[in-house]
Amino acid sequence: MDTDAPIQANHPEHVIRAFIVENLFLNTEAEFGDDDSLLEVGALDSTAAMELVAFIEDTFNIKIEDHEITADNLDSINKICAFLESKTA
Amino acid sequence: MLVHEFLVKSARKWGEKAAIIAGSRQISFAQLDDDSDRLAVEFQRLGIARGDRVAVMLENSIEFVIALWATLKAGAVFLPVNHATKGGTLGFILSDAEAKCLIVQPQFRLRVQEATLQAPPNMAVIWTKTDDGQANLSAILAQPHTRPTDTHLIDQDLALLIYTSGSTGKPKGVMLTHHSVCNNAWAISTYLGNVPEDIVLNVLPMSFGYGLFQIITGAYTGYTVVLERSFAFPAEVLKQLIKHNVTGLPGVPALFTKLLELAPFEKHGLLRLRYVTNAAAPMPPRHIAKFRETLPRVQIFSMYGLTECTRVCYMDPARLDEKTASVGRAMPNCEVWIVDADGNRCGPGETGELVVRGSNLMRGYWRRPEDTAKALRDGPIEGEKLLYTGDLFYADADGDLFFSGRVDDVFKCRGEKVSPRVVENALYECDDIAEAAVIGVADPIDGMAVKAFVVLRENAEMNVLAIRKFCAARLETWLVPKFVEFCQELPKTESGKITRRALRERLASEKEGL
Repeated sequence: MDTDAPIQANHPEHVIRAFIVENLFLNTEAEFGDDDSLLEVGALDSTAAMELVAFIEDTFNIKIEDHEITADNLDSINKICAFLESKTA
Repeated sequence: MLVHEFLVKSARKWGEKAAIIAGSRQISFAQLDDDSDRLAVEFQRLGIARGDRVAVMLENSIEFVIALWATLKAGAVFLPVNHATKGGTLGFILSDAEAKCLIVQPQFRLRVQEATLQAPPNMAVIWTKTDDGQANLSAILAQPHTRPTDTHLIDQDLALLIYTSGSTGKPKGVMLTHHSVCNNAWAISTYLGNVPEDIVLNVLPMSFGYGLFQIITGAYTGYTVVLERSFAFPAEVLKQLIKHNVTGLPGVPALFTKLLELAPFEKHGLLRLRYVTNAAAPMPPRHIAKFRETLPRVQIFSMYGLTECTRVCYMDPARLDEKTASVGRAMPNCEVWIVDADGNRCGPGETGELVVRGSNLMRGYWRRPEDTAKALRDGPIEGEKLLYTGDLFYADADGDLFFSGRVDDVFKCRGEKVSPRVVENALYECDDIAEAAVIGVADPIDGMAVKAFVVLRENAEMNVLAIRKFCAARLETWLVPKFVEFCQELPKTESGKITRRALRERLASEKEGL
């Protein structure tokens, strides 16, 4: 049975957080809130931002345009979730 | 001339003109002069004296710039630390430099905690902001304005201490005097043709010479610097370029790659852009072609430098199309030549080590006499020192320089120096890894990317992600291997030493075979 799918759909913030902690090399002991700026906590540089965009596109099956790659859309877990909602609405 | 006199003079001349713009905030030359006085007074109150080191770990921000000028005004030495630095490395740097003070953002609290285990016990920590009454920069800047006491510096005193990764392990502090920093600001702004009307956008980390000198040259010339914290969101940087009518953009190839993808849609907004500068890795010819097509009036300065002397040479933009791979000739008041392994000067087309002579040279590596003696060697005039760069170049018949590699195996990833030894040492800390070797491989995004060849111990089970995570816990992000290849064994020399050269050759032949 595929148990992952419903979790992803209901809680994109968990999936995104797991990706950031696993792949963007944030010090896993550092706590960061869903509203914290990913730039400020050091999770994002230009390469990491591209990896994050590719991950979101693949996982949630959306296309993110260049002009949408902004801090307003992607700089915190909550911002990413709001952006996802607007894209899939 | 002392470096901070640039700011004092610009404040007198330009007063309310914006010195720095960062997001929605800006600060004038006059305000920057006053605020840096306030912080300098606080440094002196804390007992920071002439020649003491003040470390700053901040993102690109107005606070960073205030801290730079305040440190110099207090007679101290400015020590910028990349804000991505891990706690352990930060601790090493603070301890090695015997820093008297650290200015830092509250977001980095965990790393600062880890670092203070090694840092000098009497080191003061100033947070940019705090809620709990600890020393903070906002409160210091709210104090009435007074001037710091004159510390009677001369231009032979140190202005900057910039740590750079060594080829063998721990980072080394590059000491630059007021004399050489002033010389370099003059030389760089001379060949770039900077004028007070320039508006330069700086997204490069100011913990590097390349980023830091945008601020120093700005104060020298009287131009405005627009600061961006990161290139993570290229569309936003592009928006700032247009909004502020930016005339100068320093960058690295990875930055221009992204920008050139977006620029065609905005080229009318970029008509004011007069020049771009490129360093750290050569600008690919297709980028140059794209610039010519999209923004034909932009001058492209292809440059080469290293922390040990800030900048060495640049290609005259008018001649770039003839020799797209060249970094041209020495900058003003600087002389270069190329020597072979025996120290003899090379002729045209012959590859050897680049040697630099001029007022731009560092004073040496902080408390590393042996490393200093290797890099700075006697020159033709008694008592004079020349810088041996460790970079291999050849010059063509016209005297234009072409980079062709390193004397050692150091390479650059995302503009940052990577020493294979440092990455290998981290890999060897892992109990499951028997042997490891690291080389740089060409990468379209990062210039060069870190590739690790790993031999696992018997029965050890480790996948690529596990190895990358292991490294990420110990190394700065640019040092973490992007590629990992598992091997049964690694090529060795007759004496049993692992040879990176053989790995590079193997990869090259595999590529040809494709």
